[in-house]
Amino acid sequence: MVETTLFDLEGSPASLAKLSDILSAMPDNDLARLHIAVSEERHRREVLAAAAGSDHDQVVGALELLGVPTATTILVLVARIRSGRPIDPRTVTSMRRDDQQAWGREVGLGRAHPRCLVPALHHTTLAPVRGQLAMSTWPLERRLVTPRSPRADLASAALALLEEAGRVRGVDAAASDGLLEVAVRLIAPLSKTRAEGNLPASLTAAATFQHQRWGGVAGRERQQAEAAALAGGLTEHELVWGRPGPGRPRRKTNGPATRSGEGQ
Amino acid sequence: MIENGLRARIDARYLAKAGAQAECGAGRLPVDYDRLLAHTPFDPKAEQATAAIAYGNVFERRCADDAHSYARVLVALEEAGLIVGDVAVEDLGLLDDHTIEDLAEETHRLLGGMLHGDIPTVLIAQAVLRFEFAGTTVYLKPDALTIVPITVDSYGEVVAEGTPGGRVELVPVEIKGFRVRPARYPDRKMAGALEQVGTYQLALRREAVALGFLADVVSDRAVIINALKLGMAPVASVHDNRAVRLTLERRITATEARLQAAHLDDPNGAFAAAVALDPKKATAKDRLAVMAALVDTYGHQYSPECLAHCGAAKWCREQAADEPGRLGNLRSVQFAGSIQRARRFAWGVEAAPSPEFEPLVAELGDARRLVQAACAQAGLVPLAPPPSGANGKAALTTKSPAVGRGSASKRPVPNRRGRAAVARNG
Repeated sequence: MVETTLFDLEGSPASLAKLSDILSAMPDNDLARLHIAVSEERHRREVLAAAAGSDHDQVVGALELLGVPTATTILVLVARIRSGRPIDPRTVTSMRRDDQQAWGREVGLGRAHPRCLVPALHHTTLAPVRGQLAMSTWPLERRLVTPRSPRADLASAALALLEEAGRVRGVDAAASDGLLEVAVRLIAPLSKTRAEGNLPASLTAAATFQHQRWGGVAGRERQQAEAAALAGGLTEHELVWGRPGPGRPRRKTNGPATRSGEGQ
Repeated sequence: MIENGLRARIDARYLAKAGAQAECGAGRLPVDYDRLLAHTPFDPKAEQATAAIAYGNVFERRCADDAHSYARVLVALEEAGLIVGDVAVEDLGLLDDHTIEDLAEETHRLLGGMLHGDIPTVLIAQAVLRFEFAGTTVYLKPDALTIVPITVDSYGEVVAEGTPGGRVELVPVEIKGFRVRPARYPDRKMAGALEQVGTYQLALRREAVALGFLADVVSDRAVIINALKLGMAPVASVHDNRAVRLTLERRITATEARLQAAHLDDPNGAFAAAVALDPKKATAKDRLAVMAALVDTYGHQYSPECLAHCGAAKWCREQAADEPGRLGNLRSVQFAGSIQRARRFAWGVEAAPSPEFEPLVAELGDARRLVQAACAQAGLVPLAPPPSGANGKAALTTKSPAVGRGSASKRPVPNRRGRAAVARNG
């Protein structure tokens, strides 16, 4: 691979000479594709750095990339790999708490719901699930954790990471390798044997197989759970933040506790 | 009013060891001996190694994986011959804002659904089981409960794994961080784990009956999941736990009865004083006085096995310094009646009191001569004869050669099985 060779080079004059040789030997089409890939990635990173520089935004970006309820540890790993900046996992808890307060404030003032990190919800009790985060903008169905969804979600998240790793491969080999490692970590419990050499192709095949096998079942479970939850009646707050456990009083928030169907 | 000062927490570990020493009245009481005898010469130092706790937590997290799919556990079960047939898992450990009572209720609901076939769940992780014991509700937390389709023969024995939709049984699964390595089978740790699973089986049988099923729907098989070799790959082993479960059932019933009697009739108030002792203010003298009062009231019995599970074992060992059982199952010493008497027989300080003791005296004398010869050959310090005067009994109480070199109150007996304290909680 030409891209790999490029990133293996160091900044010495000999290396630069070698780079020059490689580039001059490349066909025009490959050179143009490489140029476009580098430009796109540079642009993406500039946009990310300028508009989404905070840890919160990095975590949100990681969660949006994975697209399923995800453990905090994985989110922090992915965010660190993509941004190159270490994030303390403990701060994610406070991010969630801050988001909950901000949500309460905004809703109390009658403004539009902000985009928040929210807990994933248990499919029957609708209680917040410990350590699994989702986005408030996702539909309820997508935020539910059902008996078969963890397996489908692992495969789905692994596929997303493999795709991203392939995309950034040509321009940032280190990030690509990091994302591949996380994908291996996610897919490893699902396969009885190690994917051959942890190659992207074999990992993708394993993740696709698991996704096809369990994605549909988990999706139906989620739809049924969502229908049952909505039929039972949920307040606006419960719809986003979940129901408190039956044995404990609900935590105080600034948000109003209006019924979603109230006044209609 | 008895406060919970030094009252032992009644959990699976307590129940698994309840009444392990049938004649030990003090050991059966729910007193936290680890804390009672802390800061005394008999401090059991029962804390589990921090590294072991960390390793166990990491192993459990690895078994659950990042999404809590428990896929590795299901694979390990399948490899052990328990084919559950689905991947639907409920992890109650994920439920935030739930009290232990809520989780017990949720476990009850899920078990009902699983047994009736209303829900597809095949494994409940971090389940909570209720267990009524001596008038209190104890909450037991098995790592996982799984439901397995089975086929049974005409004698009711499980002969093969079944097909979905047929007969099922509930099997408790315990995840233990200790490793299983070739030629290093952790038999004592495994036995402890199986006793713990036995308590889950008892609780699960009661749950099954409460749900309107026969208690036999709970399997007598127990699954222990360990780390294989030096890595973190989980491997499941299936054990027939019927004998353990039956023994525990009898032990727990007997303990429960005696415990209720102790609550109702606490002569001298020894039990009340023990559980009301303030562990922050009590001096070593107070603690030892309370311990002595407990033993005077309820009695005790020591055997070397006590060191593996009882916080008072070192104290009892000191008391039983002259008991033959302290040296294990040595027939000749046991026949002599005490360690010191056997020593006196060996040195000829005390003659055989009757003709039936003569072979024993000769045997012990031969043993002593052999040991002396071996010591001389190896250049070791020769054996010292027992002190004379009052048959050596006075010397025993002040400075027992069998107990240690120094004063017993200042220098505790060196623990030959020092790791037993760690194994107890491992």
